[in-house]
Amino acid sequence: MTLIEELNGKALRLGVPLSAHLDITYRCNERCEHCYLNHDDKGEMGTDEIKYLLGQLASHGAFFLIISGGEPLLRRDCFEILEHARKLLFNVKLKTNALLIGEHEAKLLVDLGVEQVQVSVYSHRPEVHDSITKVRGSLERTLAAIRRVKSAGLRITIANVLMKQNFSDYSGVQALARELGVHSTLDPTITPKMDGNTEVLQLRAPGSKLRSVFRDNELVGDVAEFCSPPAPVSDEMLDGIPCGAGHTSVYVSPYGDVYPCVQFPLTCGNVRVQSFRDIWQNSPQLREVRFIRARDLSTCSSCAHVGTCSRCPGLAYMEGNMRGPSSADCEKAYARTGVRSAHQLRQSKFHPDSMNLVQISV
Amino acid sequence: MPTYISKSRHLASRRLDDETIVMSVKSSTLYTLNESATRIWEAADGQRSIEEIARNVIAEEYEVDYNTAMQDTLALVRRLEKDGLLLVHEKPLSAADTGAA
Repeated sequence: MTLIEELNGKALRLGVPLSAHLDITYRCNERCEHCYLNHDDKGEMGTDEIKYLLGQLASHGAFFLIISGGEPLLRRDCFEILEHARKLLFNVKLKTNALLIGEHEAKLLVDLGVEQVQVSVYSHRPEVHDSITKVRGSLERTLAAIRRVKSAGLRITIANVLMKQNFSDYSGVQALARELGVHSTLDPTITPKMDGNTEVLQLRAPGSKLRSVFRDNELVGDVAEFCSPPAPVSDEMLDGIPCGAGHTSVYVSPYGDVYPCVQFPLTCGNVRVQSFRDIWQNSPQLREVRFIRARDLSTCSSCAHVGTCSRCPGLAYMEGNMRGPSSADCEKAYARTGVRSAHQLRQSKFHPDSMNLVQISV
Repeated sequence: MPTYISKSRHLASRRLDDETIVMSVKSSTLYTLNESATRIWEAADGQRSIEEIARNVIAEEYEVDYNTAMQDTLALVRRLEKDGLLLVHEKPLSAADTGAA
């Protein structure tokens, strides 16, 4: 067991939100095609409200803090918020497109002790990256900022979202990360918009293409192990919690709404009308989320993948049932292992034509 | 000569029940300090000497003799100093320097 797993286990036993994610604005200076946010400002929390919230999170045991947006650096008080978070001894990770990070800002981030900066890069080719962000010159500016932040001495991760438009470029982004001397991640998750609009899901890379990604040893290491069929389901798996959202992690929107996770838009309270402590301890919605065990999942409890699936309860919730399957994760499990999920098998019963599409597993 | 210890400002930390999580923001290395190490960590305010911490915190609270307490305290201080989490000073820090070393 890793140290992080141990800490999460302890936080779970103690009921501590070890990881908090705070979006300080939904405004943004890019217009990424796959973004799930509405960028209009509907009344962001003020500086003092955010500082007060951070104090509550710290006193409740939160340690890992993601400050994100929108583009967080669009707020004039972003550095004041970061400074306050560091005074409270949070481990701070800043998620940004880096367009507003010059020499001065890079030095400030180092001086404040921000542990890590995560920057979105969707392609190594300007024409692809810029067409996704809808800002001409954005890749060039983002890469220049990454170099500044890197030379200032900060740890950087390039975060790439895999979708139809940039599918063929992920290895180019990885090579770029290596050249820059920074970490990189790749995530095929496209989330419905927070208002429930699912049009953006058309951008998802299809399962047939994910299959090749999951067999790229540069990405996954040991392909045979990564793509191996799921292990037999045990009682321990069925008694486990499906995800840490709402158990050891929490998300707060710029308007003070508290959700179990940024991908799980189940409003559990608002820190402008209740204390964080009250929400965390007494929210009926959080209690419901915490009550769910893998064996309670309507379809997934009978699925071969239940013990190893990356099922996102937030995506399931947005599909209509937080105890139901998340189709995107079924797709991923199938692309990875060649074994259909219980949800996919059920669907194929209702849509007999799709039976012809069943493929032989590797 | 007494020596004094204070925490680096390049770290994140949080008390979690009887333990403390500490992460160096420079190396991204994560540590957990057990209960007694947490007591030493909390006492590292730049004002109290290592000897004082060993005597008044560890020996007294854990009912061990001073030499054992001193050995354990020194071992932890050396380890955390090596990892850049604790700073060692020949003189106590002034109130203005405390926590800002």
